Amino acid sequence: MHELSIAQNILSMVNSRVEKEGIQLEATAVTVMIGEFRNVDPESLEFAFDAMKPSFEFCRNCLLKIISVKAEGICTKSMHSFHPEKQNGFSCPICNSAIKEFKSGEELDIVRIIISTIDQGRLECTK
Amino acid sequence: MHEVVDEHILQRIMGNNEDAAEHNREHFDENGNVAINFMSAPGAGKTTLLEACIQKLKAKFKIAVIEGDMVGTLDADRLAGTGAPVHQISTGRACHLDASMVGRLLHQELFDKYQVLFIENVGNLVCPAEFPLGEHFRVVLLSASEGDDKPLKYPVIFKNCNAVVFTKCDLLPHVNFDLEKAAEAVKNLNPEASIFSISVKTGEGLSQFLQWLSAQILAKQKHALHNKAIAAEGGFNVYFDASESNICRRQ
Ligand SMILES: Nc1nc2c(ncn2[C@@H]2O[C@H](COP(=O)(O)OP(=O)(O)O)[C@@H](O)[C@H]2O)c(=O)[nH]1
Ligand SMILES: [Mg+2]
Ligand SMILES: [Zn+2]
Ligand SMILES: [Zn+2]
Repeated sequence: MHELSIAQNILSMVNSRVEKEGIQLEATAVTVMIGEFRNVDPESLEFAFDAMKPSFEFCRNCLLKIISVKAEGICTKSMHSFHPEKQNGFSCPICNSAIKEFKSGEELDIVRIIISTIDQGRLECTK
Repeated sequence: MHEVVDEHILQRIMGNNEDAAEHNREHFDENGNVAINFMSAPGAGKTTLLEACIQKLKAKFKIAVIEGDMVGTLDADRLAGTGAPVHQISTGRACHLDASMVGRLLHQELFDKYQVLFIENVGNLVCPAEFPLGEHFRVVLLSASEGDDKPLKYPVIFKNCNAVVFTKCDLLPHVNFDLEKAAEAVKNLNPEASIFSISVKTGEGLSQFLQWLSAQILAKQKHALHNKAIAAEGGFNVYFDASESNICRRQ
């Protein structure tokens, strides 16, 4: 459900970025990184993004690209690097110890925005 | 079509909530309040536990409550029965509290001076994990009548909290809930978390949890006093700089 507010955040950040850049411009793509240990469902996010983008002036033709980032944990006992798996109860598969920290898997960031000049042809079409 | 900007940036998507949470935290710290966010699936026993905590701790601390609910004031009414001031945030369609909702309430200054703020979040194990409110501590409840695999299914919320409370433990003989298994997953995800098994119905384990809660509150208060003393001596602790603290009141 909160994918709606996440989509809204992305769109308004992109929208104000375009606004800052100048006139006759629009965003054509935004790339986001979503870690495995964030509660974001990519499909719901895409759905919400497409549903909301018409109401953001400079994002109407913006594509959302999602990079899913696999989690990598470091274990408490031996600093092993591993992928936390449900079937191990998220423990380290080598020494069975807990996760001390995540090296990756908690991202929720915009990493790339592409801004282009508005396609005149398309602009006329819509008039 | 002509690409004019192809920018590689790093912008936190939840930055607006994080900023609002930080602002709430400044309010809490400025006033010496300790805020605790209680989260769980619907019906895990948040309201029941809060009622018990307020009854047991109200002689020790001045307690206020923010009750987050999608609709209705049932839980807020129950909590008001303890004598503590309660303010409800009706989230409508949103299935979680966010930091700006809490901030709006703080700015209305509805509460008299209080020391401890209990926040009951909307019943949900997913969204509240993504919306910190500026609280000092997070407590996640999991009841014996739910599955013991919840920490495996919803790891994010169990990873990002200070304590996990297994509730309704009086039901353990009647249900298929493996306490060890649930605790194991929590410990693997979050080795620092304190873990409690309680039943508010029988009172089992409640005193251990209350002890932990009091200790956290007292430690935070002591820390705040310490900061205040530094500020009074002309130290550079911005939180307690009077001119700084007036900024948002004027808004
Ligand atoms: N058996 C048992 N039931 C409990 C316990 N704590 C709460 N409940 C019941 O669980 C239901 C939901 O509790 P509530 O506090 O409203 O849950 P919330 O939705 O998380 O606020 C209520 O019917 C409570 O009476 C307990 O320790 N043991
Ligand atoms: Mg409740
Ligand atoms: Zn290891
Ligand atoms: Zn403020």
